[in-house]
Amino acid sequence: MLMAFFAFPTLAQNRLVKGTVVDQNNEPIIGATITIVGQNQGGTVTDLDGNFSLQVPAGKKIKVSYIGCQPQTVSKLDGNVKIVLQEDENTLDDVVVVGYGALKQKNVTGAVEVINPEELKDLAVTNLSEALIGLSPSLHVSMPSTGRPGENATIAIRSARDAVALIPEKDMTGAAVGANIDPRPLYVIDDFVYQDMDKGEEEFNNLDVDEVESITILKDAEAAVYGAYGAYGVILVKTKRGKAGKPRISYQTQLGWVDAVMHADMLDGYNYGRIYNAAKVANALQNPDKTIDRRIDLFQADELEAMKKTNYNLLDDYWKSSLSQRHSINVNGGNDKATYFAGVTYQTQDGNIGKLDYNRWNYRAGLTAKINDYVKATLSVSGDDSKKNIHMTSSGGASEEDYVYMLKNPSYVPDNINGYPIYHSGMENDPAFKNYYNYKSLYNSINNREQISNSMSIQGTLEADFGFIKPLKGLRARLTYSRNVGNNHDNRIRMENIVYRVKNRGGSGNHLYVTDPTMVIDNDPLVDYDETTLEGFRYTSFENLEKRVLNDGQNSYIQNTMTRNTSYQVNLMLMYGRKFGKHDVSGTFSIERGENESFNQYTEATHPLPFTDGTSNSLADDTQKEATWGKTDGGNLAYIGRLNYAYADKYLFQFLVRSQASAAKFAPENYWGAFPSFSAGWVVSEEPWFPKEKLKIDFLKLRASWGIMGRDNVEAWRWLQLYAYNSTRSQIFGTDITKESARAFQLPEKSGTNRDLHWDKNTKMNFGIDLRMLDGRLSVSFDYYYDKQREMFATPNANFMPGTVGTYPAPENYSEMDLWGYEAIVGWRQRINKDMYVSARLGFSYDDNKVLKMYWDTDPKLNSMVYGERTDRGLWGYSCLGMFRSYQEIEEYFLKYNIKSYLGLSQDKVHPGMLIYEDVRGPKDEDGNWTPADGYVDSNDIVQISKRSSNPYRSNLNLNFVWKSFSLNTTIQAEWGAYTMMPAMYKESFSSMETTNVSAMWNDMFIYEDVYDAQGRVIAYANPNGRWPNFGFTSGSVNSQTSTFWRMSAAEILIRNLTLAYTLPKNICRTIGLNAVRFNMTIQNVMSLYNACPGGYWDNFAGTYGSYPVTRKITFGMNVTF
Amino acid sequence: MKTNIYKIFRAGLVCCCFAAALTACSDDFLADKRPYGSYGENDIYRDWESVKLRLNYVYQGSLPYFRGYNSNGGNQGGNSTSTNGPSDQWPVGLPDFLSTHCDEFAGYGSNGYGYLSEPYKATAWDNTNIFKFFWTGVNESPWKKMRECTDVIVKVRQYDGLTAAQKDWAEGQARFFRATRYFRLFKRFGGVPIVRGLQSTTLSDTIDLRIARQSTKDTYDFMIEDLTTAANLLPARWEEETNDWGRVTAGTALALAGYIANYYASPVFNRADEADRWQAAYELNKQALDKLAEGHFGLSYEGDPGTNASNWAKIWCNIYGGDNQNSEAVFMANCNNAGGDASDQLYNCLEQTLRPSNCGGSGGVTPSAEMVDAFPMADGKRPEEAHDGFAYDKKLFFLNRDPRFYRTFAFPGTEWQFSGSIDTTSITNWPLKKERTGTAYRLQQYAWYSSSDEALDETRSGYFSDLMGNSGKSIYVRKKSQDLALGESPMYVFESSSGFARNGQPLIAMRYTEVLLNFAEAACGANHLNEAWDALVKIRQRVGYTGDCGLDPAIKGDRAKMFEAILYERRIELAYEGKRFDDCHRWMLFDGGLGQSEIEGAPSSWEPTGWGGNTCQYLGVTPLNDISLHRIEMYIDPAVYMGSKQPESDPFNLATPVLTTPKALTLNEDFTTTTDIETGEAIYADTNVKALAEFYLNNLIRKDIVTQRTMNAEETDYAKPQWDKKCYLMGLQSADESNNPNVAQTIGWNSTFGGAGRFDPLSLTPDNSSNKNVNTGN
Repeated sequence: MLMAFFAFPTLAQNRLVKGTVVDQNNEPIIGATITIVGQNQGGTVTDLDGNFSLQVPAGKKIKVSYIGCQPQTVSKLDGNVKIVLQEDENTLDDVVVVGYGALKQKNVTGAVEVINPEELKDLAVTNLSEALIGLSPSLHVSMPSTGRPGENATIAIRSARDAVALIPEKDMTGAAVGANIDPRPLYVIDDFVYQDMDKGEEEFNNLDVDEVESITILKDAEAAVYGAYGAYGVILVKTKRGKAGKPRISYQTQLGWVDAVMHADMLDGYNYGRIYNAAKVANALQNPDKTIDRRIDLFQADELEAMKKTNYNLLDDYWKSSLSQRHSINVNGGNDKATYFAGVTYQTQDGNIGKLDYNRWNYRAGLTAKINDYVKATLSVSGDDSKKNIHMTSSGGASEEDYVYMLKNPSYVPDNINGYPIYHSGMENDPAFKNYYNYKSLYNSINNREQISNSMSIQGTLEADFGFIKPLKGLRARLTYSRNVGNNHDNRIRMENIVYRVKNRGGSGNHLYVTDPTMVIDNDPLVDYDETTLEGFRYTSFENLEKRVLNDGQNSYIQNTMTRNTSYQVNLMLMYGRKFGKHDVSGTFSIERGENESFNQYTEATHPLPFTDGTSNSLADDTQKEATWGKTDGGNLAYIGRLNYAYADKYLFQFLVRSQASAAKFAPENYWGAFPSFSAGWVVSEEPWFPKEKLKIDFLKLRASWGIMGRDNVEAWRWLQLYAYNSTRSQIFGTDITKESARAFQLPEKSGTNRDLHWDKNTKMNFGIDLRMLDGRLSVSFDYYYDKQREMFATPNANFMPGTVGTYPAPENYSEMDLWGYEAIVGWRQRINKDMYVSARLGFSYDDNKVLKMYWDTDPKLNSMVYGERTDRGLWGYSCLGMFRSYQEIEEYFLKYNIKSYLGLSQDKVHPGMLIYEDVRGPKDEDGNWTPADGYVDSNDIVQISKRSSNPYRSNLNLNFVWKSFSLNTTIQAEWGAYTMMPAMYKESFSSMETTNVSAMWNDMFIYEDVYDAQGRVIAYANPNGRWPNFGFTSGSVNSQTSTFWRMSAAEILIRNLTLAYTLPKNICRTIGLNAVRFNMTIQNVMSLYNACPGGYWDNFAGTYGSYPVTRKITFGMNVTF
Repeated sequence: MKTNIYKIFRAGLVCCCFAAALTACSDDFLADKRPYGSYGENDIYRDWESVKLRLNYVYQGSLPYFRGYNSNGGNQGGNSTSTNGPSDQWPVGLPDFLSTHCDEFAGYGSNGYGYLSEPYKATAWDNTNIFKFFWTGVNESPWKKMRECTDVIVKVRQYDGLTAAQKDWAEGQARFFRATRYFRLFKRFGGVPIVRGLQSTTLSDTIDLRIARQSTKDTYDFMIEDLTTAANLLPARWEEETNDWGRVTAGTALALAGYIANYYASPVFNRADEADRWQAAYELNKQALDKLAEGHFGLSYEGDPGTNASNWAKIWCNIYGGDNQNSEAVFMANCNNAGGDASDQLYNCLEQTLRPSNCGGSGGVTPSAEMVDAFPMADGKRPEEAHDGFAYDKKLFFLNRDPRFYRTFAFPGTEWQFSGSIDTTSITNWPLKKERTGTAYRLQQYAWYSSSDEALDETRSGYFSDLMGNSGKSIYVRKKSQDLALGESPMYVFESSSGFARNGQPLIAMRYTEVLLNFAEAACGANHLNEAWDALVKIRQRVGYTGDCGLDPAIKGDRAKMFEAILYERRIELAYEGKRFDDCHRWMLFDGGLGQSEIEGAPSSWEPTGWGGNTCQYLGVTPLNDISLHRIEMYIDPAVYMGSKQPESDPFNLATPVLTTPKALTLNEDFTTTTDIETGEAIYADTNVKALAEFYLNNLIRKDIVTQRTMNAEETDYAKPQWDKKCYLMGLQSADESNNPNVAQTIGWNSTFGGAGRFDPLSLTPDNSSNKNVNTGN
């Protein structure tokens, strides 16, 4: 009071206010914003010591705000003002970025989820999607198909993935047509709408965690502002912008080690031989005509003994943990006239096997300038540049051959002898044995695939505020132009591999890859052996090796693929927002226009010289060159409207509409589609009658949304009859017999056209509750959604079409399905004391759906889709009654159930070691009803052994524990509710065992009786109590059928991430001249808490059995701010 | 001042926004987007060059073909035996699975299938195992090819840019090929659905798309309409033959129309011998001859037969040589011998198919013994008739034969020259390694046995000399082969690695001679017997006959005998040109048409009421069902030589040869003999012929090897094949019905919807309601 009085004389003038902003711990806050209340101009930010000084007109108050703190308005401005900002645990006033606008959290009426980028910052990922794992129950993040660096994870929102069963148009081979019809979310990065889903996903994944300011997920009709493209949800990203203040420089570095979560446990050399023998004998039982030669076809006792020592695990030799590094530097600052931001990130990771390496540069710079009080311009440039090198596998693809080869190499076979890569030539050492991969040879070759991609975006914005014209107060206009240019190169060199065949092999059955240890060539520099132990017969003479060239039936080649994409987007936006008393009105109108163009070029030349460097100058002659090129383009035009109205922050209404035209997909008369959505919210807690205090509820909001979206996920140009070149031969005319065959125009294979194709209709409904109570400590949000998808695109099978039509049917707007589900997120946060803070967030989701209309199978099978049932028809397989362990059991079974045919086998073909299945029913009768059990065990007998084949229930738990300067974060993810089949190891076929090793689980395989070698020695003892059936039985594929025997829970509980961080106290920082320093240790893919796989031979957490494993990353990071 | 700047700025900003908004609002730019790499009909049909490329596909899709696309022979069209393959190929004279039902090749249904009934075949034909003539999956089906034609017919008229003549030409060619496709269906099914326009491709329209079968008459009329329209649109001969030779002409269209009319008048569709059908056929064929004459088509080498019909053999040795030499090629498919990329190549594998495997061929085609014995003698009479001065000796089958015999078959002891040579170093996949020069190539394949018991076994084959081993044969089909001795430059490029694969010989699908024979048959049917006689004489005179050419003048007064003479002439003149099966089918030569009314559901009118109730009896020929086919093997009399089955035992190549090969004949020799009335011995006109005949007489035995046995393993006898009589009028395969439930199944065949087929191809007003609708009440 006295101070106010004291200040009175200066009312009419400006005066200099000085102050310090600190947090609850009395630590100075750097970069807090100081503004003068009621004034657009003026304002400053705090410096390194939290100090500020500002000219404040008399009588004006100042407002101090800082992210994560409750803003404070200060009117007592005398002397050196000390302002203590309270940490804001109530994020309701935070602004949430939504499509073409932003809303206060508490005014949001749709299902909108915000990902806090703070939760991502410690994760070392080469793609951003992967960082989102376990952060939201409605995000389904699929890990990349392989754990190799540079591979992308994909995201599906809510039950989008369930729609796959019906939505993507399939071509004749059953493959999905077109890349952009997957149920992927739309990515919008800094307002740029990536209509090319591939490109959007790529750009999103290439963002560096450090560049991201916010990530918002629109899950329901809120996405209707993006119309068609938002039908599977939208992921909105805002990247970092400059903030006013002194220049702040931050540097972040990460150093990580990447290793496999686990490798499958495989049979060792001895047991490989033993199990092979037992399975081979069983296999031979099925073909009594073909007798086995006990010397040639089985490993002999002496060989088994030797194989105890010749136990080569190639992964031991070639698998290594890889190293990843990331360095990121950002500069950020500015004043009230202009702010800037610039950052560069470099990231690199090498591979666990071979010559794989990946590196990426990201850069981003932005400038925002206030031209005057009413006009603002921003300009930003960003981009990425990455390069990946992988070793081309022998068949030329990016397949998993290399890893699989190492994993499945029969343990007794060395991969090289004296450095010479060895060709695996089967039991009989047949020179004509199928070519087989050799990693050593591949590694020595110059095979290489180099993928280079870079992309650059430029965005400029001009924004005008019409506040200078009184009636137009609150109106702003903005013109944005964004342009994105991307290039991809894929260069490949693929040469033949040199391998060596061992001409004479050792052991009494000639199965060992050794001859006589005395044949070692002493002077051979490649020889690497222990003279005292002779390290398990690893030696053979060079004379015993025969050189061979493996080419997998393919020519050697060099290849170069280049793709260039350019796209632009222009938005003209009018925005209005003003408060009239309790009426809060805001709206946006925008015209959006975009075009994209892609050019690709492909060249290939076969038979390069052996020393090729991949350029065309390494060809002996030019005749084998081939080049093709092509182009695609697209464009869109849309009108977007958004209207928000709130009355007293209590009654909330929102109307969104987008009207959009899609070329290429539809005929001009069907270009346009309109997608409206309405939503409303009621903040019950704002009602005067609401007993806030009594219920300890701070905030309670009910909300509902309804909207129609449409999609154009159909193959382009199916509305127009096109003609394509026939690339093969066609007729020639004239009298010149040497004339080359001309080309021809034909109706393309898929020439069925449908001019009526139009936007499909997807009605989305969402009901939600947001609750906060106990002083913000507990927050609950719950969403229930129901999608009605109608007029979905579908292409019928050609067999439905009368033959006289003479072509394939065209796609139509035909299928119908409903999808629904719910999500709940419960959060708890509590400051236990000054030093300790705990927060937890538990998410839960459930998805379901039903199919209402589709091109049903004309002859429905048991597991065909059914009207009114979900797309996931569960697992269908045989009901297993156990395993035959004696011929008597077989006799009894056949007698008891009057079996006439057992999976096509007569009783004499059934042997102990086969699984027993139930005869459930006979074939359909004439009326289409199933008949009772008929004594034929066949595909009519499959039963639903699980209602679900993928988990409907998903949950995630994020824990955060802070003690003093330490913090611990973890993400735990769980899903359950379905059964799956044991990993593919039970499907391993005996026929390939000659060349591949199998899972160690087969150690406990059923063996009916002892197996003897040619000299009468036991080479595999009977194992009548073996747990697993004998997999030598291949007739009827009895044991590898899907059945209850191999069924296991699909549930998983995974600790995805764990981060321990330490922040250096500010006073220490300051003494060493730094602003802030933070250290962290992060583990990604920490561990699995539940493994349903019997015996633990494999864990689904580690990936797919028999392919490149999921990797675990341990990262040490440091973040320094200057 | 400041305010002014602001005002200007504000105004400018507003203007900018306004301008931006205006340009942004139009969606015209969307219409500029295009499907790169594909073109719309308004691109294609405005330009003659692109319309020609469009026609290229029409030709490619429906031309009869006999091509190998790769250097190893590859796809030899018309030969498909797959149940899913395109079984409706235009026959090209190979033993494909239809042609093996006729008597040209050794062995009925040699592919193991064929439309033969039990006991020859283990399972009877029904709608589940029948070949897919009607619909074979989308891309291979005839309907796809017809859609391409209809697309041209409809759309070429919708766009500007072509001259009226160009539009006519395009439509005419497309109509011709649509008719060829319909004809292939017509031959098998009679009436089929008629699709005049482009059907919708959306399944929602399915009900409308389900077109029912039309009567055989309607289908016939539709084809004749297409072909006569085409004839009006197309030129009689293309002006620029250097660029257009090989395109169909007005004459081609009428010639096909005439043949179709003959088919429709033939017993298989004309059980009552209705005269008006023959009259229509007569008129169409006459028009065809007139139109062909207008286009300078006619008999090649008329009046210049050469030696032993050597000029007749040249018909197949030129792509084009001006008016005279190629006036036979009424309907042809061009090929080339270009090297380069696979997509530039359009090879005809004919030469390679015909040649033995020891000279780069793929093994040759085996004629039936019955065919060898059927050719006329040098006096024009048939072997079984009496001849002045000689008699037919089956062992010395090459003496005193029709000139065409020597150009139709290749037999041991003759030359068969080719251009090129084989050196053993480059032979990689041929089993028989011997250097051979094409100009010195001789057919000297004789078999031997290791015992006389073996030799007498009528199922066993011998081991062949000249390194042929088990793959040798005595008689090959040589018709259409480019014998270098004929003096024409070969159209193949012989390569040691791929033999004759690179062959640019055109495939002549319809010759002028055939049109003349079609005319003769129609004239005979319409009772213009003299015109028929004249045509036969003309054809025989061309190969060197004179006077009545050995024909019996009595046939001028006997319609049945004239028909028979024409069919016989077709069998000889058109041998191995893919015509014989159709003749057997349309004349019901398997069984004379007996028992047709016994087919389940067939009306009594199916029994031939014309033709004396039995076409075979009417014509006086033996039904094919009564003929067991053989192939000829000339083996060395075991009394002369026996040896083990290995190359080292070759009696001609032993250290001290047991035999020497006779001097090979050039085929320009005089093969006639006369019998010395006193001694009864043959007097040879040529000493080399005599030497060969004596070699045969002294050392060889002719064995006619039985080539088919029952499919039933328990049967040990060699059954005569029985044509499954319901196969004259084919049934639909189950998929044909299920994708179009409105097509009705043919009488005699089961419907996939249950019950028996009720569609009668012989009725003018067939019941074409489908079994589905009848059985389910839909």
